[in-house]
Amino acid sequence: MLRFGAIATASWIPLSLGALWVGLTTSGAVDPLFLPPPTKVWREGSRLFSMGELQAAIGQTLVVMAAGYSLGSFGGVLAGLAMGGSQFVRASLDPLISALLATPKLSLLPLLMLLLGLGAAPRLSLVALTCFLVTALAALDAVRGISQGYVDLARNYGAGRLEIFTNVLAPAALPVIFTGLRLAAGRALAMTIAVELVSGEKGVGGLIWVAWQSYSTDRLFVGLFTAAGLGMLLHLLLRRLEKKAVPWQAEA
Amino acid sequence: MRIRCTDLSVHYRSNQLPVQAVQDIDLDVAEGEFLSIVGPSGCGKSTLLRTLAGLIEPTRGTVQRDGAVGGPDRAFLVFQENSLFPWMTVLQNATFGLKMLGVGQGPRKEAAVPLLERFGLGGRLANYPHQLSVGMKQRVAIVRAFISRPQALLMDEPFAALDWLSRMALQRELLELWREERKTIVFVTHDLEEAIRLSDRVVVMSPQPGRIVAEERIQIERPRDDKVLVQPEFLSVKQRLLDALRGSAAL
Repeated sequence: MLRFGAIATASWIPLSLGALWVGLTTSGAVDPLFLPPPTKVWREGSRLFSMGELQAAIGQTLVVMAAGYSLGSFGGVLAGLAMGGSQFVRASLDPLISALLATPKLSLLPLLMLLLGLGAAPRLSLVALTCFLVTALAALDAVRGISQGYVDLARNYGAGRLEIFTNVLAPAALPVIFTGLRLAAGRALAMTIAVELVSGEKGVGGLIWVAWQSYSTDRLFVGLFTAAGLGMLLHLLLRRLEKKAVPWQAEA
Repeated sequence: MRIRCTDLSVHYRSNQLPVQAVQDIDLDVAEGEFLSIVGPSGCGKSTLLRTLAGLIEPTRGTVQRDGAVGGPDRAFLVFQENSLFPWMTVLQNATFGLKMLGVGQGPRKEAAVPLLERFGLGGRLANYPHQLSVGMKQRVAIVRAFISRPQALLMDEPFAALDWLSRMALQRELLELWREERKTIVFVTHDLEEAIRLSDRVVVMSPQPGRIVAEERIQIERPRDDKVLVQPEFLSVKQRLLDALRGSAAL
């Protein structure tokens, strides 16, 4: 019952949009050049899939994304924890982080290409930087949000520094860090595709760009749906992981 | 454990202004005694308790905690809220103190389970605190304190967030445990009836600065069931303490 209700609530807007799409394209109200019918998009998608082009694009996007994400998030969590633990580290990193936070990261791409060459390195480091900022701030918040009461409680029972870290600080910070990791994953995917889009790379962004250049709107839609689908999958995957890693969280 | 504080004062700064949380406290809690501290909000009861626990350094004066036979110094706090670690199960929470003592997993479980079962938590060992009621959480916190080989328990309004019926039940359970174990308990509350029912002795504190302004030894016979609340003796003690409280807070 509840499950069915939840599914219905989550799907009525996408379904209505789909119906609108079908209605608009079959009635001839819009030029198929601007809005191709779903069937045509599906056919183009299957064609790209059978040729292996779609998988190749997804693969390339995911590799850059995963590499940048892991590097950036790992560094970001470490930096955030260090900032939470030491006023010195925090004061030292603060100006850099607030400056970078307000800068559109994509605008750094030309500079990075000058510095790191035209290979995957500039794309990867841009994704890493994005993830670094998000996770560092989350980890900092996580540490600062730990209630002193829990630390006192552990100390009262004779916990030493290491025991306080493993029994209190780390688990207490984990939920907020996970929220940061989830946010960062979405940003990483978006950034990867954006970079592909402006640097004429392959990947899902490249697919979209080429489709736009050649007026193949059906392919454009395949690219967009792929990007959206990847984002959703990623989100679900991390939610799963989060539930495993943070089983004590009350259901939101 | 006998807890003695002599000429104890604690000051701290809040928004750059010095606050005298407690001042000139002389208190001697005997081994096995159940002592309650009552007073209006902001009279420094919690600060005093944390100082007794060693979490706050006194500005002046001393706290002496004499272990039973020169053993380690083990006085455990029980808080009103956030008394359990949200990331640990009931069993993990209850056995945390033993874990810190280096007791192995098997013996830890053996020590905790019978007591948890007695408190109706036998089916909840693998639950997390967010799945428990306030009363259950406080029971786990009390079990943890009692099985961690304490010499004294320092309880900071542990039942304040409970509804009246659960509070009566927990008072009864706490008294039973105390009768069996005879650990020194210092119990902070703003509930006068709770203080009288539980304690051997009740001290009244006044706010700003927190001082002890009255003290009453409770001679009412134990065990004290719920009916004690309407006994004439109980009521006359309550009257005297109410007067002291009223004078202290200038209500």
